[in-house]
Amino acid sequence: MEIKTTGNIPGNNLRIAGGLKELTLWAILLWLILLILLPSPIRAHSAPEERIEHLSARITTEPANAELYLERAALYRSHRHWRAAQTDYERCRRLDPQLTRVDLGLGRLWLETGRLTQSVTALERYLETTADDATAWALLGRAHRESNEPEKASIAFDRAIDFSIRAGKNPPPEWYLARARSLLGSGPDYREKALHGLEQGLAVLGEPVTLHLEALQLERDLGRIEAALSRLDHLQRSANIDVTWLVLRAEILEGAGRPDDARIALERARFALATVPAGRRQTSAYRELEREIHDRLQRLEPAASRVGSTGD
Amino acid sequence: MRATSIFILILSVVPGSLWAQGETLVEAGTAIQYLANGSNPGIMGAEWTAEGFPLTGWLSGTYGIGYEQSTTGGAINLIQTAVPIGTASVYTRAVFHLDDSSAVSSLFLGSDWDDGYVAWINGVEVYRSPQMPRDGEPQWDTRATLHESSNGTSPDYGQLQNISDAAVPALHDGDNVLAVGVWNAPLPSSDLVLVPRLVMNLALPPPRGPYLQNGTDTQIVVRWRTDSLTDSRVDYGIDPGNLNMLVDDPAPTTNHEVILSGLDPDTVYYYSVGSSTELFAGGDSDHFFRTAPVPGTHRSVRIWALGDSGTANANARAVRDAYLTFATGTHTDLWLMLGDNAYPTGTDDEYQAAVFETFPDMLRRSVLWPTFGNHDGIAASSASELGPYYAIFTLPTTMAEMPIPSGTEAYYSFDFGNIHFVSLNSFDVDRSAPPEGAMLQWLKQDLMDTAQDWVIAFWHHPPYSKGSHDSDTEIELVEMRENALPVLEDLGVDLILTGHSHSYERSFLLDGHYGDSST
Repeated sequence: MEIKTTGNIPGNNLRIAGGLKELTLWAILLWLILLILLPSPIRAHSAPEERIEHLSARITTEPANAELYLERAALYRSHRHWRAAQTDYERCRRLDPQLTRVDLGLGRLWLETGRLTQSVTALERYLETTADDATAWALLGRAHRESNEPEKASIAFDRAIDFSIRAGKNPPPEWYLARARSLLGSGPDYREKALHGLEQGLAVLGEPVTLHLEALQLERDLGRIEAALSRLDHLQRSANIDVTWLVLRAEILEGAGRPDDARIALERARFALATVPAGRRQTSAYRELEREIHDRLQRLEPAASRVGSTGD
Repeated sequence: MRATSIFILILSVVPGSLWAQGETLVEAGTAIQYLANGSNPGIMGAEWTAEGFPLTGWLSGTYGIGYEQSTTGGAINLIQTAVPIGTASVYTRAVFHLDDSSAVSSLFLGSDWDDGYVAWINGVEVYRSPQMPRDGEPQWDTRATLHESSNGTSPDYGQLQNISDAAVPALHDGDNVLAVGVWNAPLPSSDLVLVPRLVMNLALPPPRGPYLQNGTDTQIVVRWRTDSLTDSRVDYGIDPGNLNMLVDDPAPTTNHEVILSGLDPDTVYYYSVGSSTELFAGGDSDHFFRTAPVPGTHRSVRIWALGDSGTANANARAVRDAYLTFATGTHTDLWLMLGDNAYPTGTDDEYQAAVFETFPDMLRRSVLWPTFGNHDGIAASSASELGPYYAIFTLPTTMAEMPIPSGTEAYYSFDFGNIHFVSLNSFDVDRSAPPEGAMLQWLKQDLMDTAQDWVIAFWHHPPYSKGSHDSDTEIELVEMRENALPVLEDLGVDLILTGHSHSYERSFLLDGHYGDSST
C-alpha cells in the first residue's frame, strides 16, 4: 500500500491520506465507540456475578454436578433472578433427587416470591431429613405467618429457637418477636404463653428493648398494669433520657383509669424534656413528643380539676 | 477457551482453606469393640483401656454407639450401634494404625455425645468432658451431668480439643488403641450417645492480632489468636516500661478475648498480650490504646471510615498508607469498616488477609467498629450470628453494655465523646419499618435515648446511589431509604456513611426524600 503524505496538515487533523492512516482513524473511532458502549472499568463487577460466571463455566465441563447448580441457584436467588434460580434448583433435583438442600433453596425462593404454599411444602420436606436446622424452621415460621396460620407459625418459631439454643447459639430477637406475635395471632388465650416466650428471650439475649416493649404491651393487654409499670421502671433505670418512658407511663396510667398519676408522669416528662440537649429537642421526633405531652396534659387537666370539685 | 479451562482447573484444586485439614484416625463408622454396662461388668476403673486388656464378652460394632428412646427423633440418626435402653455406661475401643508415630505432631479429639465421656490412648487418659467428675477413675455406674448431643442427621463433633500434650507421647508405631467411655446422667435417661473423632496433624489457623474491640471510656476488649492452646494474659499500664496491671484467664484457648475494665477515660494505656508463661506481642510503645472520653465530652475526634476495603491487595495497602501518612502525628480515635470487609466471601482466611495482615498497626491501637456487608454475609449469617464476621468481632448487645440493648451483634450503637454511633445491618436482617421490624424499632428507641450532640449512622447498602449499584431498584438500598431514613431523620441523624457502591458519592443535606431518583 502506497503511503502518501501531504506534508504539513494545517487545521483539521482528520484530513488523513493513505490507506494505513485511514485504517488507524477507523480503529480510533471504533475504540471510542467501544469505550462509550462498554461498562466502565471503574464499575465494580461483583464477586457473586463473577462466581456465577465461574460456576457457569464449570457447569459446561461438569453438566451432571448437582452441587454446582445448587450453588448457582442460591446466587441467582440472592440477586432476585427468580426464574434462573428456579431453573437451576429443578435441574439440581433432576440430577440428584437425594440432595435435600434443594428443598431448602426452593423453600426460600417460594417464600421470597410469595408462593407460600409451595414454600411450606418444600421447607417441610427439607425438615423431615434435617430436623435441627434452626434457620429452616424460622423460614417455615415466616411462611406460615404470611399464610395466616399463626399456630403453625408459632410452633415453627419455637423449633427454630429451640434448635438454635441446643446448638449453643443465640437466636435473634426477631425470632422471639415472631413467635410471640404468631401466638397472639392464635387468639387472646395465648397472651400468657407469648409473654413467657418473650421472657425467655430477654434472659437469653441480654434484655433487648424490642422484647421488653412487646412484653410490656402484653402485660397491659392482660390488665397487669403494675407489672407493665415495673417493666417500664426497669427500662427507665438503664436509659439516659426519661422522657419517652415517662410519656409511656402516662399513657399506661391514663388507660388504667388513673388520670392523676398520668398527669404527674407527664409533668415529670415535661421537666425531663427541658433537660434534653437543645439539638435533640429540635428533632421532629422530640417536637412530636412535646406536642403529645402538651395535648395529653390538656386532656387530663380538666378531668383532674373536675375530680374532687365540691359541686357545680 | 484453553486459558479459561486452565483457570478453572486451578480454582478447582486450590483448597477453600489455606490450613491443613489433618488426617482423621477415628470417626463415625469406625469399627469398635464395646461393652454396654447395664450392671457391674466386674472391671475396675480404667483397666479396660490398656492395650492388652482381654476383650472376652465384648461385642463388635461401629461408632456412633448408644441408645435413643424415641423412634423418630432425638439422636436416632447418630447411632449405628444400639445398646439397651437404660445402659449406664458404654466402654468402647477403636484401633488405629500408625506406620511412623514420630510423624504425629498433634492430636485433636472431638465428639458428639450425651451425657459425659472420657478418652484414653493406649491406657493414658487424654481427655475428660466437663460433665464427668474431675477426679478419680470413673466406674461403670459413675453419673455424668447432662449434656445433649446434636440430635442431628450427622455428627457434630464440635470444637476439636487439642490433646497433643497427653496423647502424642503415648503413641507408638503400629496399632494404637483409642478407648472412650460414655456415661449416662442419672437414670432414667432417654438417650446415651457417643460419636468421637480423632484427628492427627491438624494445623490450627494462623495467629492474629492483637486487636481492640468494644471500647468505652472505662473498658476495652483485647483480642488475639494463637496457633496453639494457651491461657490468656494482658499486662497493661500507663507507662510502657511498667505494665503494672494485668488480667488473666486460665482457660486454654486459641481465640483470646480479655476485658480490661476500671480504666480511666481518655487515657493512653500500653499493653502486652500472651499467656502466663509467654509473651505473644506488645510490651512496647507500639502497643497502646486510648480509652474513649467520658460520654458527652466535647473534643475533636478523628474517625477513619473504610468502605468495601476487603481486597487485600496493593490498592488496599495504598489507601491504608495514604491515610497513615495523612494522619501522622495524630491518633485515630476509632475506625469504621462499612461492610464487605473481606472479599470475596468473608471467610476467616479472607479476613486474615484483608483485615489482620493489611491493618495490623491500626488494629492494635484503635478500636475497630464494623458493619455487615453482603460479602461478609456469604460466610456468615446474622440469624445465627455464626461465621467469621461474628466470630471475629466483639460488639455490644446487652443492657450491661448499652442503655437500649439490641440483643444482637447484627446492629448496635455506642458513644464516643459527644458522638452517638449507630451500626445497622442492611443485608440479612428484617428492614421493615417500626414497630414491625425489630432493628428499626430498636433504632427508634436508641436514638430517642441519646443525649449526644452528633449522630452518625453507618451501614453497608447506600440509600442513594448511582455508582456501581442503583438505589432505585435494589431492594436493600430501597428499603433502607424508605424505612430507615425516616427514623434517622426524625431523630436528627447528622451523617450517614455507607459502602457497597464502589464510588465516592456524597449528597447535599437531605431530608424527607424517600422516593427514587426520578422524584
